[in-house]
Amino acid sequence: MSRRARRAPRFVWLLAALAAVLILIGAGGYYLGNSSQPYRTAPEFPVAEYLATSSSLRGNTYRLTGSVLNSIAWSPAEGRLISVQPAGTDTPIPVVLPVAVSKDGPQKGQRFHFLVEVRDSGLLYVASLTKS
Amino acid sequence: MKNHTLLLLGLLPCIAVAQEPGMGDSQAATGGARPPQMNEGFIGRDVPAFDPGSDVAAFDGKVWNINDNRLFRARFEKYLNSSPATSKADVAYRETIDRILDLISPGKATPQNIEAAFSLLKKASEYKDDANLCRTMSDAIHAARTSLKTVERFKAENAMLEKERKAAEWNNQMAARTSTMGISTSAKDSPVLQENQRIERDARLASTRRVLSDITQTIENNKLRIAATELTTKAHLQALIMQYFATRRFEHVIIANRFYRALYADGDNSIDVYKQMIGTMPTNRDAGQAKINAEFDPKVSAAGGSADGGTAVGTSAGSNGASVGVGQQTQSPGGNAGAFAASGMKMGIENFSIESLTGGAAAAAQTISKLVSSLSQIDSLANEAIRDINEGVEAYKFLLEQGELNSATERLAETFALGEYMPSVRLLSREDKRRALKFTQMKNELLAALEVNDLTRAEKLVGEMSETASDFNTSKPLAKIETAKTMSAMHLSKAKNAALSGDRAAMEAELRAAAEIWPRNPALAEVGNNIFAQTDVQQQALNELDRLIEQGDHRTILRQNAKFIAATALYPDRQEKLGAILAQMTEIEGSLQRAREIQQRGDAAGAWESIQVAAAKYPTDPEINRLRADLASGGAATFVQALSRGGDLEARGEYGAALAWYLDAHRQYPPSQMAQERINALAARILPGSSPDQP
Repeated sequence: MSRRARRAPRFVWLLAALAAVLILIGAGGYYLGNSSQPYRTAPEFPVAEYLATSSSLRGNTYRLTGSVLNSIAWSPAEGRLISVQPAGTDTPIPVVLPVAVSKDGPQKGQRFHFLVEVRDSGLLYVASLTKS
Repeated sequence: MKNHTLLLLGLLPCIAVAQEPGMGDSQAATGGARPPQMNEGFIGRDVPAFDPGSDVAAFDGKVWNINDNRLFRARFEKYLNSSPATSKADVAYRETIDRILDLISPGKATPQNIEAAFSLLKKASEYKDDANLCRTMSDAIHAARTSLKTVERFKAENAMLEKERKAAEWNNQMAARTSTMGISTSAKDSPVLQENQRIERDARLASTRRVLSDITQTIENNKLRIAATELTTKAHLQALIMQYFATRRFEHVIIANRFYRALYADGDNSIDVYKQMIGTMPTNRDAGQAKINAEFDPKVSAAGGSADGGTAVGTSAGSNGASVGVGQQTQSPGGNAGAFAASGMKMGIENFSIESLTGGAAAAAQTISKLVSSLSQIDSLANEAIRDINEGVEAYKFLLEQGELNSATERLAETFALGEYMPSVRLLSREDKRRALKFTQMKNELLAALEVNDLTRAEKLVGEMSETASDFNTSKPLAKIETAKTMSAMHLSKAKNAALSGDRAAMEAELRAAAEIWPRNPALAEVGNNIFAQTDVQQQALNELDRLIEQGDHRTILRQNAKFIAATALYPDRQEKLGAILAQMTEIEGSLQRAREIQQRGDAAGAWESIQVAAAKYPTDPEINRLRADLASGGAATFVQALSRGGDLEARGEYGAALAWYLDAHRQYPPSQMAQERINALAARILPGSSPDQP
């Protein structure tokens, strides 16, 4: 009888230690993952809300991640107007790359993290971008 | 001979008096043209003229066709249907007339024969064919004889009075002598004695002169009575003869003429008395008939007188009485003087014939009186007429044998017109006449058909007549028929053109003209119906077009464009509207067609975009809107929605979101021009001065 009692606590402890290791691994991974995405302080760009009524978003800055679809227009003074396909949606979103930002020359199909600012007329201006 | 023929033709008005010459049938036959006979010739209109080329006779300013006269045609047909005058009575009458003619023929006219002929007149008048003409003649001859006896009595009385006048003249001469017995020589020179002797002589002469004047007056009265009686009887007989001639009773003319010669053996055949009477004959020209009244009421007056120095004795006598006067003439040249005057002769004929021949008879009488100067001429004319009539009948029989019915019928008609009562005409067999009758009926029917412009019937009759009569000249009627047909066709053609050009007044006028020329033209009804149906359809189409335009139903107009194009051909204002509508509908239908084709390829967004362009231009077109709605709610829903949302946001000034929707639309349908246009537009707005890049 005493032999069976001595073997049970050892197994519990093993399970507990395993769980603790797994928790530590998960927490570490979560921490490490979040720490690699830029503009974490900016909220995700609300695509649906923007398409419904952009005026309500005016003045806000958002983080937009998506692929460059096309260059729509280009102005030497103003910069470039491109269309971006946000991650998770098919609707292209137009964003203005000011001259200062567009000097890196994003290419079609490249994925970027954009820090965008909603200005007058609901226009999205890229404050900065980071290749994803 | 020429004058004779002319004169005989002058008798033709006798058979056409019930109808105004130149009117009715003849007018149709001449086409209303004024024939040359109506013009004043060198002998005026008083002398009848006959144009054998056209069978037109003219008299007194009026013309008619001797073969184309309703009354004549009726009489001629009646004659052709009648049986020949071969009954017992007819034969007996003929024998009586022939016997009379024989008894008083030249060389046989002895007093006994004349009496026998005179008695036969009463017998002849008993027959119906004579129409009591012989009795009238008998009465006239009897009256003439009685008058002649009266004349003889007056002549005998005058012979006795002449003897008495000679005795009275002797007594007067004796009384005029002054006796100087028992008076001394110195006393003879006494003025007182001379005055006494003159007074005594005048007293003696007064009685003898009165007796002489009475006798002279009686003699003159008797002379006047003789003259008046002779004039009266001669005039009556002459008028009777002329009446027989005017009514074409030529045998009676000859009989009366021979009796006249027997009665008046003085050789005076002049018809001056008749001419004076006929000159006063009144004619009712307005009625186209003559009313002739015979009135011989002579007012004869004579004056005879003798003047001897300063004293004159005169007598005068008249029908109203006699007077004797003695007067003193201071500057008379002396001698005997006589004067004679006759007036008051009138002649008129009223209801001259029960067959209404008065007008013609009057006209003929006046004409004859101008051309004929003696009874011998009348006798000659009557004989000539009889010969001509007999030759006409012979010619008819010969032509009949030759099968030349047209000429035969014309000859018989002419012969009948001249010698209706002559034996040769009356004795013609019914079989001979029936052939002419059939042809005449066809000819009359042809005239009637031409008169009413029944050209179809006329043409058929011409064909039948040319088969019946080998000598029937079809050129004249066929020329008229063909001309009328051509004219009618021309008017119909003009009516069609007028209908096509919308000139309704001209169309109706042309149709009316065509109908007048050929009322039963089969093409008339057909063309008329077509024109009116066409006009009706055209009007209906125009009304429908106006209604559809008002309703905006341009698609129905497009579907029936051929009808409306035809209907509006003559209406420029409607034509312009229709043109604009058809151009618009052609564009709309083209857009629809293109959209449907794109849709059929599975490109709903492309189809929608295609029709949207047309819808922007024609927003009320139901077909566009229907297809547009179908596409917007069907395969192109998300595309349309993207564009729509983009449009809404753009309108609100939310260019960023709007551009996002346009980009979405372009993503769904990359060939979209509308999305591209809006993208470019917004890009230019967002980045002024930018150049577009391909999205």
